[in-house]
Amino acid sequence: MASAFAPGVTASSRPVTLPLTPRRLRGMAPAWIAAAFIVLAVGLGPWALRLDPTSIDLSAINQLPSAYHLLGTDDTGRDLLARLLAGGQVSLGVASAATVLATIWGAIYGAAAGLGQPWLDALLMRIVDALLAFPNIVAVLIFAAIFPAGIRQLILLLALTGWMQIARLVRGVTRDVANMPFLEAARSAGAVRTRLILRHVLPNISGVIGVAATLELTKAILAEATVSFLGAGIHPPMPSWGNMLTNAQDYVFTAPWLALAPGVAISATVFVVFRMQEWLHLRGAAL
Amino acid sequence: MSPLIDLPHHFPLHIAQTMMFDSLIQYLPDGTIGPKLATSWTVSPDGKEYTFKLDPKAKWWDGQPVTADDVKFTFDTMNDDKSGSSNEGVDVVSKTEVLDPQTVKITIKQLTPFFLAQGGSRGIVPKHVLQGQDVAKSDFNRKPIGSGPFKFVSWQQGQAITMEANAEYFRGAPKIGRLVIKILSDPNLQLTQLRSGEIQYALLDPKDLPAAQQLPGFKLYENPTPRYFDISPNFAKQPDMFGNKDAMLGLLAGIDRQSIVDKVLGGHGKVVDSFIDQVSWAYNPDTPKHPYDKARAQQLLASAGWTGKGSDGILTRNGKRFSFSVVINNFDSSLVQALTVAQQNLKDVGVEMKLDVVEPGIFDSRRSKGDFDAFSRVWNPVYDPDEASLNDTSGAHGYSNAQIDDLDKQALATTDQATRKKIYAQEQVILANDPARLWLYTQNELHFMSDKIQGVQLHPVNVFWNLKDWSINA
Amino acid sequence: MIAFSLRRLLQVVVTVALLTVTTFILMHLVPGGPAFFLMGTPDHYTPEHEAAVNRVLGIDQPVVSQLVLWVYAFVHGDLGWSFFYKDSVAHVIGLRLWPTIELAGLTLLLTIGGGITLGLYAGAHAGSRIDRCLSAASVVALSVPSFWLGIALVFVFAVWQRWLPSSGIAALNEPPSVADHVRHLVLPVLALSLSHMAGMGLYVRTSVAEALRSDCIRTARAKGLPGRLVFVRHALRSALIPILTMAGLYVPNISGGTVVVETVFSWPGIGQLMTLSVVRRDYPVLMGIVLLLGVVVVAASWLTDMAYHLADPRIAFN
Repeated sequence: MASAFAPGVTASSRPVTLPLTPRRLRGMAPAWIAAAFIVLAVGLGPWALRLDPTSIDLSAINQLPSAYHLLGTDDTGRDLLARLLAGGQVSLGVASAATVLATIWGAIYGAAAGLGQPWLDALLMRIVDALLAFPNIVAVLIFAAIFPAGIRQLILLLALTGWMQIARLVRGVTRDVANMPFLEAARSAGAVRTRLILRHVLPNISGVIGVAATLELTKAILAEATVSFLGAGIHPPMPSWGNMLTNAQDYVFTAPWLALAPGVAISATVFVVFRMQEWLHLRGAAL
Repeated sequence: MSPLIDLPHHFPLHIAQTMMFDSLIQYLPDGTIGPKLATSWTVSPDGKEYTFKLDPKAKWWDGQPVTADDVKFTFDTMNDDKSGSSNEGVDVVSKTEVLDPQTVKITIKQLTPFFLAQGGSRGIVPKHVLQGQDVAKSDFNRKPIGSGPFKFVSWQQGQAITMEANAEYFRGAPKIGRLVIKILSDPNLQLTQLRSGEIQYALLDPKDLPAAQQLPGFKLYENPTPRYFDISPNFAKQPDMFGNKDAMLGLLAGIDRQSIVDKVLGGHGKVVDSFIDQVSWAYNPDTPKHPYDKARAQQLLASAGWTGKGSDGILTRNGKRFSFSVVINNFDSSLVQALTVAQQNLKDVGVEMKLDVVEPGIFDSRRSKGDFDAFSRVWNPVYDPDEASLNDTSGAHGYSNAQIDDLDKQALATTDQATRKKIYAQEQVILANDPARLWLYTQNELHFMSDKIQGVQLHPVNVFWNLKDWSINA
Repeated sequence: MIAFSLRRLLQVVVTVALLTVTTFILMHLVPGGPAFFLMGTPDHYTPEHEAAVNRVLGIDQPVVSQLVLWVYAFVHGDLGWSFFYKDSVAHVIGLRLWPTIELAGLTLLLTIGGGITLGLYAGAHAGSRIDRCLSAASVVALSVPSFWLGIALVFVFAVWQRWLPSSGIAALNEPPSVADHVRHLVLPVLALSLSHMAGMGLYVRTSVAEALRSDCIRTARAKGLPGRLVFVRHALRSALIPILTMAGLYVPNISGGTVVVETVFSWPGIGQLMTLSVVRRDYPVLMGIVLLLGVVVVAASWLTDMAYHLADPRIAFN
């Protein structure tokens, strides 16, 4: 399935590269700090700040930020900051889990295709092509209709829509590595296949897998937002960045600031992940 | 767009239908029945034969007169299984006879007090156009020919339906020349377009009202309707939770419905304690109410046997937690908001209510299979309280009350309103003490339109019922 | 080349066939059916009526026989009849095709045009401040969810400042005009194309920057070739591959991305129709759309591979 959720982000887009300088490598530090901040805020925030994302207060609907509610309140008086952080837990948790699943499966599948016989390769890749041609939205809606909504289902859905491009990438790079002369030489010298794979192929494709995984993470975060926006992801009252935006859309006229926090949160997180991916790529290039 | 296929869910198409097609009678705002295609009618003493006299001046847009043949064709087709039409309102019809071109006699299977209102409101289609065609596939659906005050001009799918005034309309030409019904998928768009002047009317959601009222040059027509929202429990599936009268009363007392009306609906609605609303002639003002009372709720639940309490604050009885999930159709967004508040209220008295918001197809499928603990939706007892009564026990799965069933039969056996009113008054009191459902609230319709529009008269079903008499000042 | 094309054609057909069958089966696995939307107020449902409606629509038959019927009709050029619109599927889709083509087409043009321009400029000046600004801005554009961007654009340009209309493809209370239509196009196209443009731009930029740094170019420069010529011949040629790759990949992306934008802007296109058809369980229309999209996507990927080969014969056919 094509990623309508993260336009512009595709697994075979070459990662963002800026010229490699020591200054550049040091300049990555802010990204790591930001990433750590996000993870800590989302992971520990609700507990540390003792905020309740589900407590309703009908006397405080759609309020602007104040000392009592740092980011304001939503349409049933729930504290936006609490919902943002709790929602972050959900959104990032779902996206990360989906990414891990998609990466593991995609890498295995892609490696199998890359290392296997030509007929196997062709078959596996044609299946991937067919799946990629399947419109995302239909898959999402059908999936949401068949299985009741929930976190586990959403993770599965995101993983199912994301593994194909990882498989493609991994297959491409595996095939390249597998056809390299030194492997031919090793094989003719009698080396055992498994050992070849473990010692030579894996290290060479791990860099690509890492980059693909981070790209997949960005797609997954955006995908969760889009899917929840369309009504098929996490349902209220459990907050997620995506469903907070869905809710906010109804209030563009009356309370436009409701859309600001979750939107910025999503964009900022995805941006940070992109920077980390840059770092990974640079590190790989430096080796 | 054919009135054979009733499409209430697709609201814009339904309005267009009523503008383009006439029905036999017109349901008036005060609940009485007025003439439309039929100038007069008589009912036989046993209440099973209705004879209508049609207005000889009524014409189709193509000039042909509207005759009894058309009525017979319409009703016969609606009841024909193979046509795929909706037989709502006419399912009780057993026979339609043409006595002469202007007179049609309809025989119904059993006495049905609301047949005139419901069946008489179905649009009539032209026999000479549709005869012999496959109703489901006919071009008629896209290029209708009706007899109504507005003629079809064009339908841009997904965008808008355009109609123009029928100057030869037999009951007087409309003063408005052109009518365009726009299909907007996003409520925000309504506000934007009201402001820019692209539209002159919008049916608003309570939460959009404050922003809309900032716009100059508009007027709000607030219409209390008998439509109400409730939570219908599945008594058959969860007898230990809902099967106890005190538990149901406790749940009712445990939801702060007045706050929901005040805060979620902005006051544009009312709490309901009965399946018959205040605007109906059958309303009994002495029906016991269930005001929000946390202490009383807890007391009632305890007397129903829910005396244990878990570490999460949820009541238990014999080891079982008082926890259920409510299935909701995702069309009703303010309902979700309202139920979120109710959820919190119930949590305060130790009951866990989970919300399961699903899309319409699934909602319907689960409802018909009985695959739910409870579901929540809107009920529309428009024409007659009996519709509500029929709903009341049939919608509440597994609920049975012999007294109510008996009274229902009595009410259906007569058309004398005074008698029926007494019967319904009794029913309301019985049900208030032994609830079949958790009634929530009614929501007023918020018709927001340009103040240049004159002639509007509110109506429980269709605010546009007299659109042909409206006019727009320059 | 011919053999390859034929083999590829066969693969296209097989892929699309698989796609179709899977969709069909999946759709029928989803609970609930179209009857709900066709029967009138649910207060008056009867199971008999629902059964009658299903019989008329033909969905009470076993799934396999329905599939066979559909394929048979399809092979004879008949895409079926929409349950909801009471119109032929071909006509229903046809009516909504142009708005989506407009949206997707303009987006593609902007993506390629804007992406190439920005990418070339940034790549040629790699490392400069402008380059770093553009690159950072592009990454930001990639990080923003397109529907949020759409909502933000509506807010800024239609609610706060009323410069542009917020929805639809034309104001219906005026006679249609090109100017009015263009005004309606601006925001949706912008919402959809910004992130694609950014992605393309970054990709082009990287390729150009690396090509310019490469040995070939240094040699060419050392040989005394004028800078501009070098640039045009080598840098552009290296940018060609990524452009093709991205263009090919954007077709499925954009066709899916229009769904969200069409929802936000009430744009009457295929995307919106797809979502509505799933909700309404309008199986024939859905099958028609999936088929159409499948063909478009697979064909696009085939064309891209062709173009790859033409651009750089060194690339092998697999």
